[in-house]
Amino acid sequence: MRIAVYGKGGIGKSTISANLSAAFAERGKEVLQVGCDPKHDSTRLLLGGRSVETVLDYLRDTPPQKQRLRDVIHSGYRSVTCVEAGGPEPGVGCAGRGILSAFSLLDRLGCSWQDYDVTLFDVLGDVVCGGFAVPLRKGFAEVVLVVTSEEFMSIYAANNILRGVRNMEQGEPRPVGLVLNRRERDGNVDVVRRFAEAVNVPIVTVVPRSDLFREAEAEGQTVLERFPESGEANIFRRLSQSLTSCTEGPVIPLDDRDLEDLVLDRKRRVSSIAKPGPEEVPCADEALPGEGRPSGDLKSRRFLSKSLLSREPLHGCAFTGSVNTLTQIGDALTLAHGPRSCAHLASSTMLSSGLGTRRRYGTVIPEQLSPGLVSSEMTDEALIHGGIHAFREGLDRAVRENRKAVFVVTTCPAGVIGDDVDQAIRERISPGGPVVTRVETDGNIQGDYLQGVINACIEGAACLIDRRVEPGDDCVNIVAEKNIALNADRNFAEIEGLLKGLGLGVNCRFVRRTNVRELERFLRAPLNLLAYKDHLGRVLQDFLVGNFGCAFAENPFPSGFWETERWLREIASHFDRLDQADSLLETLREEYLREIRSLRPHLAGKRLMLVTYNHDVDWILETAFDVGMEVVKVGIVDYSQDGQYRTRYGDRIRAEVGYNPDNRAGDIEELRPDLCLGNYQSPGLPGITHYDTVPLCPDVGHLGGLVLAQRWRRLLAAPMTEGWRQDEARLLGNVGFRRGDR
Amino acid sequence: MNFDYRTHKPDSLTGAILAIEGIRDAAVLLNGPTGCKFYHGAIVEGQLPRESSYDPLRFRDEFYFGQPRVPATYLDGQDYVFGASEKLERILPVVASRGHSLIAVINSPGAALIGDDLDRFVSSAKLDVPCVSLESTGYSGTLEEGFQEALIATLRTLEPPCRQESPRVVNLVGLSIGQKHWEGNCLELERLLSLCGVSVGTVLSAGATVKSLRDLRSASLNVMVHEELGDRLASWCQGQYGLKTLRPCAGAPIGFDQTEAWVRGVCEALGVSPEPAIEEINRARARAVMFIKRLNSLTGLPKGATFAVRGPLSMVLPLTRWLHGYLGMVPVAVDPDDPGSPLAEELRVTLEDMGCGRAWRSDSFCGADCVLADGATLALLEAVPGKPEGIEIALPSLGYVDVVEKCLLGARGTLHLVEWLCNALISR
Repeated sequence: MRIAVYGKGGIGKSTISANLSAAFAERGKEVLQVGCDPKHDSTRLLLGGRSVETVLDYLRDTPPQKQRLRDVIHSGYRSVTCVEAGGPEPGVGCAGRGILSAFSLLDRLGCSWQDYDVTLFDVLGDVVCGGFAVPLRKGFAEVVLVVTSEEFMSIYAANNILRGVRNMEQGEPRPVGLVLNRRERDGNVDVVRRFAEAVNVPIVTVVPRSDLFREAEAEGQTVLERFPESGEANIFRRLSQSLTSCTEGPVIPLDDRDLEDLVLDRKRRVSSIAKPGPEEVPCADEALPGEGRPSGDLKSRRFLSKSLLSREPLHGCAFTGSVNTLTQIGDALTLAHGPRSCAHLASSTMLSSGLGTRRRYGTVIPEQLSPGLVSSEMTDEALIHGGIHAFREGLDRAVRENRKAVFVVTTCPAGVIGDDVDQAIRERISPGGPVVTRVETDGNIQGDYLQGVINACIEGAACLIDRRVEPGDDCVNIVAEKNIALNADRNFAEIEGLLKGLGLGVNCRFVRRTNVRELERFLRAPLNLLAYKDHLGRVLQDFLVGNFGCAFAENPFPSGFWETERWLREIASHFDRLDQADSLLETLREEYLREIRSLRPHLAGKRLMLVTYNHDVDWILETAFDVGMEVVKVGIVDYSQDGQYRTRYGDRIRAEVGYNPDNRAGDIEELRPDLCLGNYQSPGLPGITHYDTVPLCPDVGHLGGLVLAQRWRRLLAAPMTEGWRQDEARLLGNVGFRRGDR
Repeated sequence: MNFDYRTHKPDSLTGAILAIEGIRDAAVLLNGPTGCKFYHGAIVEGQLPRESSYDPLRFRDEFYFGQPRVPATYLDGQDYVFGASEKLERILPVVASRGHSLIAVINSPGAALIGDDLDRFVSSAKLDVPCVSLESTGYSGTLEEGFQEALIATLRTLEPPCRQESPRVVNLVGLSIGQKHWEGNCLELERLLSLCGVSVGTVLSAGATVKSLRDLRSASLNVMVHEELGDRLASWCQGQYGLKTLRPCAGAPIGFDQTEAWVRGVCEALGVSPEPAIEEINRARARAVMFIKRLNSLTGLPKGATFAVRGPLSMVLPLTRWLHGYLGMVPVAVDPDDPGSPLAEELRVTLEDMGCGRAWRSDSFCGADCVLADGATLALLEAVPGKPEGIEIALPSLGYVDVVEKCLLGARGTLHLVEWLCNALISR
């Protein structure tokens, strides 16, 4: 049984929750109590007065890879498991969002409500936003207890909570009961009874005002622990057995005027007087039935981006990463739940790549120029009152498009207000309709751009994979291409050509320029090829191996002859086609050596310095060494890249990982290279060498590096300092590009 | 369903950022995640460059993330729970140290929900530079709303003092750096007016400076250029400062007749002769005629050639009239991206009068000989068999780098259009 305890601040929810937990525990139940209040004192009475680290503090202070469930759960009285969600300081942040984040972490760390006989959520105050309503969602609380006193503001809060309960009803109404926690010995109990009658919710127990509570609390204990023989303790024992008496009829919250009339007894409702008191509530032994959120739905493991693992500032947002990935599935539609600006920003990222690819390679990529993307267009009103209506409308529009699949991604605003899109999706799923799949993003709340890519691949595209498909013997899948790289399709064409030389085709690109059918038949390929063996590539490989038993080639897309030979031989070996590889390699080698021979006279003996964000630079070094250049320095800059520098030329180069780019000028002065390469042309460097750029994503294939070398040859024949640089120094100085004044 | 640009237009957040970053010495400080920063940082630097290098190593400072513009508090999941107080306290002095004359602190849509008190941070930072705080630019509001509200907030902060009114100074209203060729457009309108002895005090807001905004009230008139970006702003200025608004013609000064009407309207209001500008427009007309006639003598074009146009109504209306009335071209699709504009009915009636009512809000561009639209629309048409020729009149851009300033408005703008159309049609 999962019980949510709500009530106005200071009404005694935590005392009642802790005593009720203790009562369940005395009956031998496995109990979990989750405090959902930023002041994090819900479980104090179960822990001997001890205050524990909250989930949100832990989430903030502990790197993801070090996070463990045992660090945030604590064992209390009679082994009650205690968790405090925590929250922000008063006046800042969003406590509702905090509850969502805390539940998400517990979920990720494998805390399953189903491992417990009883779970109690002790929730702060009114249901003021989507975050505080989380325990009311389907799959969480099966029973709702609303704590109130005889005071008007307390009843007012209780009525608001019941409104929340009604708004969150999905299908069968859930049991709801009132707990009257008396604040005054001679307070007016009738007013609460009238209220209970009017809203169709029974008073399941009355807790009298008693000094025993104060005395027990002073010692950090429940009354069950401190005064086990007391009548007060028995109240909770009875309550733990009587929750089946909670109403299952619809609750009928009052509007404010009716509530005021009722409390002030301006319109006395005669029938309410006859309401039985709590003493007459029958007892029951067992928990209520309820439809639980199956633990199988909870992810036991998350695949995290490098930024999340390293706790770096997040680059981009998961929403955009997911959108840019999912819209590569041509016959699917992606619904972006959020304001229009979010859909615009995501589509602009795609457009930028699409327009850049068209400009540079003349290739039109419809998935980027005309992505299948619609927005729920959340407005100010939706942000205040909840956006689920806008979402449902958007989902209906998306479903009407008759695509084969619909993906749902959410933005920060949707995540902050806590729209329950999962439930809305369940309501809209119909036989014969498209597959509707939610990918968790919540803007950047779930992480950065790469986390969005990961989530889209794992929670979106992979959901379409049909496990029944048998592998063939003449095709491969391509995994982890970079959708924003302008040369992605050029590289794919090169790879496709090499594979064709082995008599192999491409079954599916995971996930680029593909469709639902190809994804369904993903397992037809007996071998998978990573485009990049960077963090994203490794994560996707781990996932596909772990969940589908996929086989992967060891080596990613090759650049340069050495890598191309190794890559072709590995694939050929897998398919037993080494003869074809030998034949193909002979042709490629001849072509490569011919190019090398033509370049050596121009480049041999030239000194090369390389400062780059790239962590795999062997394709550049191979080219340089093969044309006879001397590599005088390699500086690897840490700037949100893979973080796994590797080289097979360790004995031939001076490499400095974590290179400080401020040292460039001094190094150039000292080493006097003929050519200095970087990812960008930087101003302010000494004019004693030639400078050129290298791409972040190399061109693949046996001639990949030679394309650069051909440029170097031309570059070295150009003047050391171009005339425009003199104009820059003379006319612009340090003012950069500033122009005009109005 | 194709990607629908009408529902994916930039919204009020982008409008607000473009308004502020269009002021040359102002800066936006975004309280939001980097996901909201990168696009805006790129687009404003592309449209109004302040730096000559793309090298992210030059902009490694915290909050900048490799870009020179739109520093951000890089909100993450923790900040949504605990607030961004600490980052806001740190970022303000960093941005202020860059020498800007105005800083606008703008909440991203997500940040607006967590309720950080921007005014409190701004006032406790005790900066010398004036700061505007925009707690929320609205959700799914239009770019035009965000643009104008941000400028109104800026003027409220700057409080332009009442100055001696200069009888021959006007302000131009409704120009944004988000518009294609905005800089050339400003220069062209300024040039035409200066021929008549009229000078431009400030532009709201493309290319303005904080000083020029403070001098706003020394102008005798606000002259409307693009209604959708200026109507609310001009009304506010009129109500707040008594600064009257002149709307010389329906839509922007595109095409010779419309440009002439625009100039005449301004000159008449100021009591000066428009003749020097009219002479200049006539010179442009003569040059245009020479090239149109040569095309016509060879091919019969442009008369009878078909066109499609997509853009804001303040451009689409005058363009449609000019292409039809002056060049004899026939509209097959006229697709304004703000069909709720007050100019919409006038355009619809205009198309009916032309006998081309079916073109109204049609997005079927394939039957056109020439399409005038944004770069994304034009790129998509490349996959269409017998693709129309494209002329880019709005962002996003196909990527052509305009070193020489071009324009779409005024006499020179019309000559540019004639040039692009002649080249487009002769190649068909």
